[in-house]
Amino acid sequence: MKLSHRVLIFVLMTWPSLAAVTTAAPRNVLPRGVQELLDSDVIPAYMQGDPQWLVTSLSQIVARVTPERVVLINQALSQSNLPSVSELLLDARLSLVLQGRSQVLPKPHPNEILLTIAPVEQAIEESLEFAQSIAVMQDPLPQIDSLKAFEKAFWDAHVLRNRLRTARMLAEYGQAMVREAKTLRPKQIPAEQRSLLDTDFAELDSRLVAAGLKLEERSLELRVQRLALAAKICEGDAPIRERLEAAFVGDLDGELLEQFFTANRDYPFQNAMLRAPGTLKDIQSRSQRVRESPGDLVKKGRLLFEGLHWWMRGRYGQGPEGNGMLKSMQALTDPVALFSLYMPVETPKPTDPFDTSQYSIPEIDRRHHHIWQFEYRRINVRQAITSRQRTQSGGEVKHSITKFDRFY
Amino acid sequence: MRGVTSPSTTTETTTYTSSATISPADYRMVARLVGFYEYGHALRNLDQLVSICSSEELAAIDKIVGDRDEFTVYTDLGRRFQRGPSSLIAAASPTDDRAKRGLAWVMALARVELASMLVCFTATPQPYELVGPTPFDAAAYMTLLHEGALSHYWALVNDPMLEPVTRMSPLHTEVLAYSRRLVIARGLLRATMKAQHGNFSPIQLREISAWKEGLDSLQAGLVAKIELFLQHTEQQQVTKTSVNRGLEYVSACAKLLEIEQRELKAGRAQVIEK
Repeated sequence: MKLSHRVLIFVLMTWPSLAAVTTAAPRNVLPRGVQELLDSDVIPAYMQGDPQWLVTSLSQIVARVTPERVVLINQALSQSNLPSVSELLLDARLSLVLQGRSQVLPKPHPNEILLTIAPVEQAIEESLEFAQSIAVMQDPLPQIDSLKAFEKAFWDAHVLRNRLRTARMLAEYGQAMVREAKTLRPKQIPAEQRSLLDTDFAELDSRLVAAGLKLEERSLELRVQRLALAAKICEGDAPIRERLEAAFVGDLDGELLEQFFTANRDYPFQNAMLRAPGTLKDIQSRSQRVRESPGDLVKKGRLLFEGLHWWMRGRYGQGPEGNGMLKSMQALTDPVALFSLYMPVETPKPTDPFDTSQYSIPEIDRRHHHIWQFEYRRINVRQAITSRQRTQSGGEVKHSITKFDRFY
Repeated sequence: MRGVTSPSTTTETTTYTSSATISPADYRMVARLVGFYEYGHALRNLDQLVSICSSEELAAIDKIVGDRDEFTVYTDLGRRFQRGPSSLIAAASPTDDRAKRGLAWVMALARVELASMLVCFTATPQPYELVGPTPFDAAAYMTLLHEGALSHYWALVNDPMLEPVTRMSPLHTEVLAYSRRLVIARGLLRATMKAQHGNFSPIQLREISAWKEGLDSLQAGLVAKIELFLQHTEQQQVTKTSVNRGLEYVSACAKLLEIEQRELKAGRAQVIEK
């Protein structure tokens, strides 16, 4: 499941209690214990965005049910607009791995292993297909002649980079799952699922690595091209709007390229233009021309686009907890956790909040409508023994003489 | 000698004292809200930008922002929660008018969100004034502030959970959460009243004042209930009584018992049951 696609079950008009959401599956379809675990743990854990609780509770269910029952559970979850069991487990496990909390993960049960191998493989294949589909990865790189078109290309590259990173984590997870599956007894693996053990996650990972290397080279190539265009615009008499954009991107590209080429002088580029000895000198010269553009445009461009970038993160970003509204506790101590957010894969186009016929973008039109629901304080009642008194009655010793009938 | 002890009764009375405590407020928690760190950084950059740009440059920037769909801010959301007539809401506006574009709206939204997070999770005094607008985005800010106040008020008074929550024990987390919700609603009403003071008609001013007073007393009731619960200690006495069975025993001279055993064994004596 992609976090950006999460269905928000908060109903905005009344903001009801989360406890009201339960699975709609008929009670006689699922065993009572499973139904209770779903209602009391799995759904609340999902709604509260608590991946550890979700994995712990859902793993227990998966461990004790047959694949047929998993199908029924998926139907029950679907009726409550929740993703399937394998999606929930995968998402929650990955979320904890991304947060660096893999040590809290319970060891997956054989059922869970078999349940997740195929979705993991599919998710990786989808990422590889996406890599082949975008313009930035085509051979040769298409010629781009406007700042707007460059922006689109960089966005695609950014999205792909994130997908490849996640896919590599999935590949690592998949390898571990296959290793575990191979230690199972043959009777633990249904015949129709034995082929899962042949899934070659190492091969998938090597394809991901190759795609990643190509992407990085393409990104550099794009920057060199965009810097050349930006320098040209800054020196011309284009409208102030265009010069402002050019100053920002030219300054940014120049800085990044200079850093890279200075640190990696002998990098074995595939691309001939990047390998050419005069490339760094050209970059430095063009950067200089951009920075000397009149009106302090570089500084203004930085303030504008960095400001907008942060705004986008505030508006559309999702954290790993609290239905995307919250960052993890680590955000209080770890700058990486404070910064990290899930961002939409495509540039979002907001929808009219009054139009309830479509999926709402952003999911939360005003954060302040919902933040009060994050209540971390608790009232606890403590009971202490303040006194103890003990009294005893009875137990008196009553002596009696028994006469023996014999004489000694 | 043969003896017996009568059954004994032990009565243990334990007194338990119950007291409630509330976990302390942790203002750092505001940093866990997605948007707090982000909108803060956005405003730091954009406020500085506005302060150094000419009006011609600001117009160009406004165009850059306005041309991008992702920066569209829909307004007038308060109407979604409205259930009755009110002097505080303008006549229905066409859909196009609700979709606002431009830098001022972007900045105004960031301010209202950031200030609301501060009011909800910190003790920052007057946060809406603290992150208040520049002249460039003042009008947009006032609109979003006003809209926020209406949304929260109407959502609260139409919430079917509100009444049950006022009757719940403070041990239910909902009581604390709704108290927090009232803090933000009252904060927005107060900031709106202050910002719009000169613009409101007497009727509008009366209406919004009545709203605020209503929420003030609701919150006072919740707070009083929580405080009372925290101050209240309860004593409970539990008495347990246990009965110990009586005991029979024989005490005799060891020498005599030894002789008895020997005589019995030798057949020179016998026990006569009576």
